[in-house]
Amino acid sequence: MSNANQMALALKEMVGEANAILDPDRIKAYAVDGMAPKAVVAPGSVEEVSKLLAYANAEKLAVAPRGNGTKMAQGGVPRKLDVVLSMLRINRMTEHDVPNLSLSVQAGMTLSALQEKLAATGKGSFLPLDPPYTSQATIGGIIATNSSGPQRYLYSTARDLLLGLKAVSPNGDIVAFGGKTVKNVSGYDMTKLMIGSWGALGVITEITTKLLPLPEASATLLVSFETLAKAGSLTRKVLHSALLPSAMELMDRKASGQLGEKEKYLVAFNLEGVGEAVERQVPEIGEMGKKEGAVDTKVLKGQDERSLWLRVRDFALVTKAPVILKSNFVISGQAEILGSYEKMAQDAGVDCAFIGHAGNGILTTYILENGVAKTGPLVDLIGKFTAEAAKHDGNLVVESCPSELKAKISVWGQPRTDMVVMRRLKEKMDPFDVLNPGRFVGEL
Amino acid sequence: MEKESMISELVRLVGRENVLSSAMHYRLYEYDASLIRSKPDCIVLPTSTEQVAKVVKFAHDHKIRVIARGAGTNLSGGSVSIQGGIAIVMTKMNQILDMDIENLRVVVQPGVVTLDLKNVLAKHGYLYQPDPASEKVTTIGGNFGENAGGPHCLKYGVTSNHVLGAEIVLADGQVVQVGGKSLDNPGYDLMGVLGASEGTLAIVTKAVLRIMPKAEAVKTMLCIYNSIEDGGNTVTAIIGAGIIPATLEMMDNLTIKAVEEAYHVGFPIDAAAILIIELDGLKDGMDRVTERILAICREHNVREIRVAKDQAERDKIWAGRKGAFGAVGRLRPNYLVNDGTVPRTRLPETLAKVVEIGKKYKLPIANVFHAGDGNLHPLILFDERDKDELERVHAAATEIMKVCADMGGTISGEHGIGVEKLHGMSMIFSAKDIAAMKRVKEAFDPLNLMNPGKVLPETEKAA
Amino acid sequence: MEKKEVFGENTRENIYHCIKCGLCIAHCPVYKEVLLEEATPRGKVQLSRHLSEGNLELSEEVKEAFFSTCLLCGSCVANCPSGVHGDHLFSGVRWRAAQRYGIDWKKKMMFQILASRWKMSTSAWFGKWARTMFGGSWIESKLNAGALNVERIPPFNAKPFADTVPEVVKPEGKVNAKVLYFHGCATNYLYGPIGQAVVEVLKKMGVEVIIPKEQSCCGLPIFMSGERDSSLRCIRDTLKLFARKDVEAVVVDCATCGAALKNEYTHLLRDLRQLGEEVTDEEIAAAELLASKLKDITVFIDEHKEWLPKMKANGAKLRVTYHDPCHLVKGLKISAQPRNLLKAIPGVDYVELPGAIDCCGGGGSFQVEHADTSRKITRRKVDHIAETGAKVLATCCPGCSLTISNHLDPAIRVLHPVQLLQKALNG
Repeated sequence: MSNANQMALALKEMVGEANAILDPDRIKAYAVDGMAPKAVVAPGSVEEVSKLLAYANAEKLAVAPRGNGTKMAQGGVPRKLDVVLSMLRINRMTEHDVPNLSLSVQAGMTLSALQEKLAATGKGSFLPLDPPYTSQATIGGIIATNSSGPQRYLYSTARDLLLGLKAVSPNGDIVAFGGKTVKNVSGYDMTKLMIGSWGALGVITEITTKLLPLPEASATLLVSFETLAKAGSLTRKVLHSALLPSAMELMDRKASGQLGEKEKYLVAFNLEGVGEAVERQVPEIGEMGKKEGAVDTKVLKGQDERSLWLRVRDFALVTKAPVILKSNFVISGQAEILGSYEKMAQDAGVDCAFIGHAGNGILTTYILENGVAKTGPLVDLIGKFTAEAAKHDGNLVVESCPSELKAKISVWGQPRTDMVVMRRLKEKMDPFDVLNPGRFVGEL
Repeated sequence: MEKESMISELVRLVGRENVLSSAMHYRLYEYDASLIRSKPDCIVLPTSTEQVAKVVKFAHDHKIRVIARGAGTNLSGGSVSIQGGIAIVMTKMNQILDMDIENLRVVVQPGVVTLDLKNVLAKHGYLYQPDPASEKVTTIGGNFGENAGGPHCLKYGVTSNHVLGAEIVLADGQVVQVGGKSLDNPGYDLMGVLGASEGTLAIVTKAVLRIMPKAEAVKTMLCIYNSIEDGGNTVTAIIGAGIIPATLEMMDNLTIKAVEEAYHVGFPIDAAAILIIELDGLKDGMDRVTERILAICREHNVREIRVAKDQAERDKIWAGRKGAFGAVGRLRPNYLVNDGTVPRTRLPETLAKVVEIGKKYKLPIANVFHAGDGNLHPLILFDERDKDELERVHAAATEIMKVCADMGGTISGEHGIGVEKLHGMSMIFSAKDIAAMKRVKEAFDPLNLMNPGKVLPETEKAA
Repeated sequence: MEKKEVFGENTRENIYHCIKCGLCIAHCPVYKEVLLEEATPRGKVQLSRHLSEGNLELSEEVKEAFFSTCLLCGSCVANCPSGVHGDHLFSGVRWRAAQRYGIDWKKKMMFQILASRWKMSTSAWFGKWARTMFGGSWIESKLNAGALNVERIPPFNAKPFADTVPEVVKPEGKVNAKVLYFHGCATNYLYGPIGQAVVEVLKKMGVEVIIPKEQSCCGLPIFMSGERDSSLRCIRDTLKLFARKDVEAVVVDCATCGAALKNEYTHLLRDLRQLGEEVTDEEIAAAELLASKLKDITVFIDEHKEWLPKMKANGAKLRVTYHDPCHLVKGLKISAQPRNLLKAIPGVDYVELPGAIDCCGGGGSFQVEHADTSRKITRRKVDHIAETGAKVLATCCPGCSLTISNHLDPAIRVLHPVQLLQKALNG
């Protein structure tokens, strides 16, 4: 029997025939950067995941874990790809401790389904994460990619929310770290290590996280400016005040236009919490905006508010941008960098929209036209963007782009001195390079 | 390598005045705040990253063990050189290097005393949130190595949530930068795994901290109860009502009495328990939330409520809480502090079990706890000169750990595993879990020279 | 290893109550500058343990640690949650160290002088004469006694204070109370004006002041240096004169003398008895009596403020700040009364000193023998005083006054609160 047949048989045995896709036509949809795997499997239990990885480890196969695939395009071209491991069938809430405000949920559940359930239970709670691909993104994928959204301004990101995590090591070991308690220093903080590890150190099967009670009230304030500098000034003032918006997004004219607003530099504030605090902050920030020279303010509530933030989070879907870049840098660099990017893009003749988490030093660039047609200037531009971010103690990561481009750019930005440790970690934890080889930083 | 040659080489690397190796100094650096004592082979006090790197490289080349320490107030033996080697004391690296308020960051050397930093920040109206009770003496480096918590971690998280970058010296003497002032640097979250690593993975020579503007308003309440159960139930009810205060601390009668005798802060010595609740944030709605909290307290039979009227009253309440551990030293000469953590909702149950354990082993136990996050600190009181009592203390401590593990919690909430809790690791981790952690250790420190014998139990217990 | 007991039994018990929590480290002024574990109170308690248990030899290095990295300021004692009396342990070690290594002959001579009143006044006279004859600004400005610049040490009193007042000073009119006044060496030989102020203010309050002519040194500087024999002489002499039931209080103008008379005499006598010294029950009872009567002058005045004549404001405002002497705030736990006194004086614009309770760095002979460390600590105090913009620094300890004024901007006067009170009462 050929190796391929042996593998097919083994996989079918492990997950059941119905849960293994071997037909090349159907497999195409699961290709990563044009590279098709030999099989796609969808295990229904953690034990099955364990068996699969143990098998892959023994046979030196390359495996790519997958949720709904919203971020499969990000990362380096795979060095090798044998099996795509779908986690969609491992998708239950395993424990919801309502009075403890903690939750354990498996990787394959979508965040939106989870939030619905949480809101409907008891007094209502939520997991304060609002990453892109709202209806599709799965818990496992979100955590593995450390995905986040505008509300990180107040609620921070996964590393500040998760209490514990269960995974399967590349060699098939089923492991569990952390737990249900808010504080835990027993052993190494493997939970944090796994967050954002891009599926390269283990397959996340379940997370335990803290929850927050649903806020009493919510409102959104949009403040528009003619000039970027003034918009930046407002964000700076709010950042250093005692005010507590849950989100503060700065966007350029293109982006605000795409969202259906007037084409101005727009600062969007989301305010959530105790009713009185929301009622106070809306007009107060509005006043601060006027002092900085805002030309317009607008308040949104209810469905209008929800719909705006959905479009902000899912801007990638709104614009269908073929190239998306994420720059990170020191907080105070936001307006300056956005301004430089605007100019550089203009000079290069590349059409872009920009949305930044103004209080976190994150800026996402949505390149609106087909990048393949202008490869040269695009590569150049990305280089310039990266250098600019680096000047502000930061970096640039390519979140999505056509595969052809990946050979010409460094999708994970500039390497850093701690690469030496990351390399050693990968070697120790995945000696046979089973998980996502070549896709993460430094081609790990 | 001969001790004498080692010492002369170290003198060459960091200067005579920064190397200690007399009988007196071995006695001074053989302990921390735990019951464990063991002498290092030499003590150095470097004054720069370069010196740390040189010492570590030298040690690495000669397979000599190293252990970094700050103020040495570790409660689990993490700062004690149980396998000899070079103790690298970081207290002289105590400068604030960069107050970058604009970017909400501060860069410090690891020997900076946490409260000193916070006092400097306070002058500018900013805060570094972690507030371990020992903050007036512990250093940022030590806090990070243990992932120290403190009352405010209920709302704001622990040390590792606020240390965003570091310059570290690896086991082979290489100096690398991890994380930084900016967020989301691509790659594995090495900062994440370094926090709470108790000096077994690398030595931090610079830390980048997150700071934030101080809250507009603060309200501190002292709630007095006639039963611990009522206090515990109040805690659960408050969180259950959807209110997350900044702190929720509790103390039992034995502790209250010791604190009152030591500090005279006005705690009633006949109370079964007191709860310290603090809210912070915008002033709008704070009164209403306070009322809700007080209503919940009343629903649970609170005897008396005192709301602090000003900063002085607030300080007094906190002085009582922060001095609690040391104060019980008046009751009996020594204490062993447990650090088990359980899901908040199971706190009253756990406490009841702790009381039983105290009776079983005939040991007085005073309790202080971060009720809001389920981290208990049963203080088992004894006299270490009584060997029989000491044995019973260890047995009691082990049983308490088991109880916490069985409640779905963990054995250490903030004081670290060190040496003291090594035997408890198998209560919460499988052999495979420990094997995975060992791989991390091997990636950072293949020769096992950095603070060996801590955190991870020996291989017989692992797969 | 030596088997001689280092500590009396009660003192030794302190060792076993140290749980090594390290909270004392936050309050030790020397540790802040030195950053070594031997400079921590905790470290010294642990060394004391090993010395006591015979696990560590009392080497030169150990002796050095106990002398050069400790001001015996008592900050650790005041802040130890377990109530460990580190100061008792440390002075105990100093005693054994002094016995083993002897005391520097200059110091020994100094102590002999302090312990004898006539020797003291003679040498003070001689010192004054020598300074007048051979001193002078130029020479003195070049001379340093450790961290002290000799030029800025105040001149000796023209006559010892004791010679300028009768043994009993009666008030005009009704006698509200009778007190004994222990003026101490500093007031007697350097700070006569403080003594004058104390007597004058008390007189105006209707208090009869008894100033025993035979009084001598309180002994504290002597036994802090480990020299217990001479200090025993001082203690016994003082008890004879001051342990009296027939007065309302024994007042002092010096925090260090106050701590000696109130806290140290009873401790030292009991400790020595446990170590085999011949100490009688009567002596201990006398020490306890004296302790019960002892009050800092500011405490006495504050408790009887209704006896003070009215003070008139004259419109001028003087900015004054206050430094808490270690022996007063940490030893005697007094901090409110001096402030009350200052705030009650019309014309005083009182401003709180940042770090008011931080040690001044003097520590008696510490500043002479360990100049570097001392200077660094004093520097912090001086900087804080400058921050307040005060024109007067008030404090209740001539030791602190000596140290601070030696390094402070000369435009800022250093006075005892009672001197400001005296001025205000005189209009």
